[in-house]
Amino acid sequence: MDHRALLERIYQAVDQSAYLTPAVHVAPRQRAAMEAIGQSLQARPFSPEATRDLAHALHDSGKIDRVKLLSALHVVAAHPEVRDWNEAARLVGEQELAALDLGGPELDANMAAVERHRGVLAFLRGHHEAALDYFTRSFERERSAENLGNILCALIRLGDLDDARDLRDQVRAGFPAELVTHLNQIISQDPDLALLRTED
Amino acid sequence: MSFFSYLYVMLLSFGQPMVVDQVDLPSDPVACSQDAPSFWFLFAPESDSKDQGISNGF
Repeated sequence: MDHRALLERIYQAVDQSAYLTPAVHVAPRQRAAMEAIGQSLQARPFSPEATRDLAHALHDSGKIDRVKLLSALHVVAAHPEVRDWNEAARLVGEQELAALDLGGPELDANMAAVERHRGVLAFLRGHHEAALDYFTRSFERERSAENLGNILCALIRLGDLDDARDLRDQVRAGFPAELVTHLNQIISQDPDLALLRTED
Repeated sequence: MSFFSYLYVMLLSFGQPMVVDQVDLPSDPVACSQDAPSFWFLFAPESDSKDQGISNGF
């Protein structure tokens, strides 16, 4: 895989970001339910069963759609205390089909989540170049600080520190201040991005 | 909605990442946000739990 070509795509996406008008938007109707799942993922001790049951219950009651259900189940399967990689990969495939079937204005955001999940799986299994490919796809669909942070993580793991710093600088120079602020927060708090703090 | 407006609205809803204890829970998610739209969880792989982080938002 030629990750230099991926870098060109990332830079192109960065260059064009200020002019994009993505059709994605967050669905407030699902926000509270996903917050509840997020809190269950943070609970100590963490219970995968309880989190899965909660996600299914919220889906059964119509609080979250099938795409978000599968996304939540994937995050549980990929959790460090679960590490069920095969199940996580199966679920993200199912999530992709559900997102395509659902379509609509949330398609790009849903597909960005699919690509991000696949990237995380690849990253956690040590396939950093494949992870960069997935994170690039996710970023092309959804320009977010989260996706940028993952790209920077993958670049650093690939040893491309100079490219990571160049990308960071380009984002800081050209992206909206709010996104830059959030990215700076990620860089300051994510241990994997510590090498990018030296020039802050 | 323009992209900038979209980003502004989206980022307004980002929460401050909450760092949890990395010493007692080295293989747990090391940070997360409780807020929608983009929940993000930093995963620390078991091989090098203090030197890696990755975000797996819904």
